[in-house]
Amino acid sequence: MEVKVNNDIIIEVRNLSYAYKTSKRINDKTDAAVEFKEALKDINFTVAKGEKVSIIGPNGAGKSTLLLNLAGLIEHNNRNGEIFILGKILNDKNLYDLRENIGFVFQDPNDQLFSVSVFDDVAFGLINFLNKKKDPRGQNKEFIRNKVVESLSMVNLSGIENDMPHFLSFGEKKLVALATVLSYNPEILFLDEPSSNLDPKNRKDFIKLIKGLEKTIIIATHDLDLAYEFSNRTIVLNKGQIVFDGNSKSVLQDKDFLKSNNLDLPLMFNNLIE
Amino acid sequence: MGRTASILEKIVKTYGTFNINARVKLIITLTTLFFLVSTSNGNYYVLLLYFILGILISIIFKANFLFVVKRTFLLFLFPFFISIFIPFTNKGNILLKFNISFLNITITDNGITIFLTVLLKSFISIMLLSSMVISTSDAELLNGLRKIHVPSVIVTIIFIMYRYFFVIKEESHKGQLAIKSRIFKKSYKTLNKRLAFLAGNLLIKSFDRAENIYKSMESRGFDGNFYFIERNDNSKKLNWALIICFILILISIKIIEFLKILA
Repeated sequence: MEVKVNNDIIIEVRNLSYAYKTSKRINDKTDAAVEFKEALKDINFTVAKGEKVSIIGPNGAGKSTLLLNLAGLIEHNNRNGEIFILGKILNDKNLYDLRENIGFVFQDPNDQLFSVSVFDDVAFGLINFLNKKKDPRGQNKEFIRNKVVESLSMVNLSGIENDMPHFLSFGEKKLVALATVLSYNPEILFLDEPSSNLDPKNRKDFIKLIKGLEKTIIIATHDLDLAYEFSNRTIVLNKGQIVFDGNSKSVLQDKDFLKSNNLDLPLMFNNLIE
Repeated sequence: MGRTASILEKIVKTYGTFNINARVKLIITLTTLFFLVSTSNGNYYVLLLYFILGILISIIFKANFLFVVKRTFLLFLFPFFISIFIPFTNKGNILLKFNISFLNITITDNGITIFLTVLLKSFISIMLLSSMVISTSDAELLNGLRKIHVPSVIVTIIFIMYRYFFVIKEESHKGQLAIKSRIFKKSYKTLNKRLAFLAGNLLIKSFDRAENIYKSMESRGFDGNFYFIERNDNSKKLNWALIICFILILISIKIIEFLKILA
């Protein structure tokens, strides 16, 4: 199914709903005990090419679930609605082709960095996609090595190719996790809680870095300062529904609106307005 | 004289700069082990040659010799205690006999020969493996396994186990601290009970972690196949020359054993 799209629109979400299967009682596997907890309800939005969007909301609002759905990384049986990436519907048939255009950076870099060396992790996606296309560069050591070095230098890290990810600092792990997706140059980046657990300096550097990337980036965060600094557009989710989609600057200064959605002003305004 | 000195100087210089890659270390160690294990019982002079070869390998691998000796003696205790009953359980000419009430214990010459052979073989094997492990970083060793064409699924599983060993260790340490911080009375019973819960908790956490890792691999185009790129394959010629040299030495030792030249 192809959708007629404006050339600028890169992501389109139509009537997306998602429910998690849960059990009411421990050790009870009967149908009566099974219930569905709705995590997303009737989500609709589009994202243009090169746009930077922040998805904010309180804990359990559905931010991560939405990102996982957009990246096709979640059980799709419990999903309703349609997601279009680069004009193609996201389904089983297109999923593996579309993934090449999507880079997903997980909240915890330990989930992303599973190899014994930084080199292997950064090269992993690139080698997979090249081999999938039977591109001879997938076997070209020099090409892969250059791409790995280039990706690491994009995140301001160099000379750590042979290091073991576990022994890097948390900030470095976050940067390497970003380099693992930059290596295959995806069109779209999804970042789940990119600023979590980072110290102020690393946080500032990380924001500066992702702001400078010329890609379509969607971040899910409850760091409202990050949303304010990072993007002009913010989507506010609450209880699985979009309650706001518009200008970051206006919504992130609206104390009453934020409070009604279990949020608070960004720390930078908190003192000024109170 | 001057020429000999310059050749020696050249050898020392080459030794200083030459890095044996993990693949070569693995091939040399495994081949030597294979030849060593195939030595028949009682060939002590051949085992002495393997011992000398083991020391030579340790020097070439540039392993910390003191560390090798320490680790070898420590690990040697395991085969020693396992094989301690061999002298009593083999048939042959009786050397010693003990009659302690209902127990008849006999030590045979055959038993002693097998016992000594097992001990010597295990000592040399441990020395060889220790030299390899001590002189090679873990990541290099795993890369070496890839290069000798161990199936990629097996290597990847070892890789991931190795990678997450530290994470699980850290999680376990955090869990233990969390338990200790809330135990206000010295009670080993309570502590042990909580540690059992912690083990269960770690298992659940590792399931979650495994699921997330799989998602992250899938998001980067993982289709069930692992593709590896070789790195650090410098000094190729010298490495291959070294393998050939060692194989020739091993064949020579086998010929010596077969023709009973030193017997």
